[in-house]
Amino acid sequence: MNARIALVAVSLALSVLIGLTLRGGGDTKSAEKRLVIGFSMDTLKEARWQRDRDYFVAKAKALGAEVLVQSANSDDTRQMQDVQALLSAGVSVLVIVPHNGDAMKKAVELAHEQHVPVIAYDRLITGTDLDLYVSFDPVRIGEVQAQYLVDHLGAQKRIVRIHGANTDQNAHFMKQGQDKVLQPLIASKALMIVHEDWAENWKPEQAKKITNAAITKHGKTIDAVLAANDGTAGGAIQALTEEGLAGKIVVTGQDAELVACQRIAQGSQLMTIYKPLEKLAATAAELAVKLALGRPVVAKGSLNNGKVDVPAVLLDVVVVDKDNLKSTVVKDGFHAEKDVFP
Amino acid sequence: MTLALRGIAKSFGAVRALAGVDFEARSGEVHAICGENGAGKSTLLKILSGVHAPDTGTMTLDGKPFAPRHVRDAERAGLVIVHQELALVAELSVAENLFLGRPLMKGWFVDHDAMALAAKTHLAAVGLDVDPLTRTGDLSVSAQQLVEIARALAKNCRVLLLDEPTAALSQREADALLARVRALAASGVTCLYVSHRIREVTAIADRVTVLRDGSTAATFAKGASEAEIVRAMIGRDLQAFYPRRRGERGRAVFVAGGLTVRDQRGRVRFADLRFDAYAGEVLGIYGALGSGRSTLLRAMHAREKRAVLVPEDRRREGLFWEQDVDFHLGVTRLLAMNAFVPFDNIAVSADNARAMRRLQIAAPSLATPVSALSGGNQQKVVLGKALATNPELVLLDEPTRGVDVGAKVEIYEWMNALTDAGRAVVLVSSDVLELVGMSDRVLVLDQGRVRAELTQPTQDALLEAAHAL
Amino acid sequence: MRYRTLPLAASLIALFVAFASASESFLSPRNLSMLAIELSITAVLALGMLLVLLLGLIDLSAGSGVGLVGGIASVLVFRHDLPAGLAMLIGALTAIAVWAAMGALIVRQKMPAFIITLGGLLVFKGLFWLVIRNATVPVARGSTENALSMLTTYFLPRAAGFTLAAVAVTALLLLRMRRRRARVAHGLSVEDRESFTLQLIVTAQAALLLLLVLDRFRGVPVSLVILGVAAAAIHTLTQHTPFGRYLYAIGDNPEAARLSGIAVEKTIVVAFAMMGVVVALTGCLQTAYAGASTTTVGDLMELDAIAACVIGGTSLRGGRGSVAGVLFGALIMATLLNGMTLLAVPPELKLIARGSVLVLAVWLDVTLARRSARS
Repeated sequence: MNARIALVAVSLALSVLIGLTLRGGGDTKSAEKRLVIGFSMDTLKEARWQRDRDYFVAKAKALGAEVLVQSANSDDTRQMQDVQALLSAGVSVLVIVPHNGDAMKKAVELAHEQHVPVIAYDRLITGTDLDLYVSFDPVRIGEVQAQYLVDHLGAQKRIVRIHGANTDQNAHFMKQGQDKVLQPLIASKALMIVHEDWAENWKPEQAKKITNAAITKHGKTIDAVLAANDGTAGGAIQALTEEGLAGKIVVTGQDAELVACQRIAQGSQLMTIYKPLEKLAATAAELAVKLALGRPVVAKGSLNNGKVDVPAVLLDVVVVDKDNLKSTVVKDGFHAEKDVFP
Repeated sequence: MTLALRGIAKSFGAVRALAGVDFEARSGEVHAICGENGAGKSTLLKILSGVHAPDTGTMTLDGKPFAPRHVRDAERAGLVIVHQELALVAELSVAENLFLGRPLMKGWFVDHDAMALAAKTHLAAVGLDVDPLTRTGDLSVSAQQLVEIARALAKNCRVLLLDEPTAALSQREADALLARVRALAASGVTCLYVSHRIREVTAIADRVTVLRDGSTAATFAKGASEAEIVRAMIGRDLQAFYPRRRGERGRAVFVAGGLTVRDQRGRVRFADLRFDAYAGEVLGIYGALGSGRSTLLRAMHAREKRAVLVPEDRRREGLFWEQDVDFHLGVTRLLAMNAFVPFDNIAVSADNARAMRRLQIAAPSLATPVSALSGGNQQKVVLGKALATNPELVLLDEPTRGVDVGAKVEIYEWMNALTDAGRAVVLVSSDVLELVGMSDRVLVLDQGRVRAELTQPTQDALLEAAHAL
Repeated sequence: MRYRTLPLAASLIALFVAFASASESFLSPRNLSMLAIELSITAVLALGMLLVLLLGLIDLSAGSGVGLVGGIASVLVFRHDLPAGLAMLIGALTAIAVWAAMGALIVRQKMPAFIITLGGLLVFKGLFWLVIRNATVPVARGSTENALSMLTTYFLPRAAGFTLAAVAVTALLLLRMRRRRARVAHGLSVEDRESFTLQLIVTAQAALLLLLVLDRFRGVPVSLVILGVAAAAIHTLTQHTPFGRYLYAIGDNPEAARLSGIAVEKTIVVAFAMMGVVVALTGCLQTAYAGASTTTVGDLMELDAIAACVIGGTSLRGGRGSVAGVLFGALIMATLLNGMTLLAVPPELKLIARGSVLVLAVWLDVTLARRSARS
């Protein structure tokens, strides 16, 4: 093509675009008013989060809202871009599962600039005037885990603790809950923490490394691993299996992941915590719709996030062990019986 | 096997490398191919070995069509080429080199024992008595040359092409090699021998085909005189071809009063060298390949601030392949400026445009990438880049390699212009005719010393001095 | 260069059309403003990477360095209460020293840049985590604003934006006209008057369109001004200073450069020091964009930068590449990411798409180069 003709064509096209922009064409006429919820998730890599998404979207649809889902692959900068994109897309309310509760402070501020309310889902966003927090009570989870462990161990026991991600506020709340139960026993020397560490990004391989370190230092004299969730429990059990200790040392967990339920059925994991995700997702979807429509929201609890007391809706959790596997996760249809007991 | 070529022509873009080559090499003969730099020898070799396909013309082997599409094709047909630059892997053993690319296997593993055994037979065929497990890099250059030939024989070669096989050898080694080639021919292998050492050619070849400007100029039977062959090569008498004008010799620009030169690995290549290079004079340097002549030029370049070096390998050391003519002609002039202050690149380009006209660089524009130019024009660009800084001492390493005849004469005229302007020129060339024709004085290098200095260089005197080494 | 411009422009237009038809908010002023900010960050780092790639070297540590410098700056601001400008300056000086040291290691010890910077990638990541103590460090205290936090959130006031744009465009047009006149005066070839005038008109129109779109959101983002300044500086550096021409010479053929008298080693060290400046600048931008320094800031950014360069026609073997090409490449990468994020494409597919585009672009480049060489 002749370069001159091409330039003329480009110039004409630009003129048209300039005209359109001056007239304000293209973007302002946002058809009929739809209710759109933006759901920015930390990750969708684990089955658990995919369930959250499915329940959430289903419930929102039932309530007549559309959901735009973003997943940031555990990267704060990506999540910030996701939130920007959701705001650009014109959502009326934002639900965020923060990868890092501190880092998402800016996302909340950006949303508020656009007059979009924000709900933190499952993990708290700190240092900002967040509108609402919907989660299972993390302190309670820690308490339940620790209490169950204490009840199922004799006295004079040596324990390894694997906490969640240091960057995750929830991991700290859980530790706080666990401490509530454990501190008195530690003080009375009824219990000994021989090793404890934070698993970076809740990674199972990190938990495995921590467990290996504990075994290297203390040999096989360990009685229990208090792992913060099923992922880290899996890493710990992998290390124990390689040492031939699996099943001999009790391990806790959380989330009631399928593999964890299988491990419980087969005996290498003691317990997990079942959080009825459907309830969490449905509650969040309902609250999001209410916020978007400007209807009043009732939140009984509240949680300080370093700046304000965030109104919080905190749901209770269920302990799952060998005895009630069938009456909880299986009965709820969370996992199929043939999957749990292969 | 009889190799016959009819009307072979080849062009690269606008450059016509071969215009019509005809000759026939018969079974059991040593057939020499002679030609000046740029006569088309290297293109012909590439066509024979399957690297390039000819535009027109036919090739036959024993009457059957021969049109190799790559090197393996040619080798399968029985034609193997041994290049001037040895293609051996220095770190591998002699046996491994002999079977490079097609090792003998036992199951999934290389069978070193079988290779060593087979290697012995092939080495015996070229009269080389070394342990096949020797590291190849530890052999002398002449022994490596024989390994290359043995490798060709191991590939079941019926037509052997040798490209300047003696360039790196001393006279004694060269004589031994030539005897081997004769013996191979006697055993029925067709030997094609490419060289521009006329004396060698007349001594060994049964017939000589001379290439000039991409065509067959003549084919001589055994017994032709050196003068006849030279005249066929350059198309006129020697004196007319080399337009050297001797001028007034000026002051010494470079004084080597006990110069010691080390190579890149720090080994001493020359100790206590003593010679001078004078303004207004072309100083020729003769030495076998590997005699350290290029290392010496580099050392002179490093010692003398006002010197520029035109390196031997244009592509690897002279040209910036992705860049255009403008870039080359301008880049050395930037050295005198502050590196971080924007310069007036329009004024520089304007100067470059003038330089391009003055140097008669045949390129469509200043913005033509050098990779699109012919060898001769590329060489002019390299010279233009070097001369842009107005140097006192110009070091030329094989300045006419791969350059067509027309450009060659232009380069010779520049050498005259440089000495007329009071510059000193040092010329290294493996082309004896060129060295004798263009130098006012020639130094003969051998084993780290200046063995002879010829103040009235002639072909005979130079070859005599070289023969005495 | 011609054969490369058309496919690049075509793929960019195709991307815009595809995203605009898939999501009506893609062309909204808000999203285009966000795209401009995201582009500035990617492009600034890519421009620095260009300096290194021109030399035929590579810098794999840039992404980690981005995190580290951002971390240093935010820690100084948040934990030690230093003024943001000073904090950024300290970060920049650190980066210059570190990158110059890497350059010196490469030339003195003759170690491959690939290895040195791969080591840097890991070391800087570790240092970064140490500096921020694995925590989240906001770029500003409380809800205040400072020079650091405003890098990606500040928009020029309307009058200032329009004035700046007018001045920049006028200067560019005058400069191009002056250069054309000078070429004519020196008897050098120039394109015909009509094409030249049309080019000027198109440039002015494009600038006007961009300005109008940005104005419909909040105006000209300051990060875009930073990108403009960086691009002009690096264009001038590479095309109009001896140093810049040496980069091409060294990357194309280090041996020929050395024999031509160019100070190869010094040039490499200085180029790396400049890369340090760029890394520091990007570090502040990216950290400001994230709002806080967290462990993942900067992850994989070096690969995005390299991809932008390569898509824009920069050769990994050195000696070929231009600022215009890099800006184009960065725009393609940033548009791709922005559009896919807007459409809520899952991250797995985003990675696959970005990788495919990179490979496709290089394949196209190689094919076109071969075809143009043949003709």
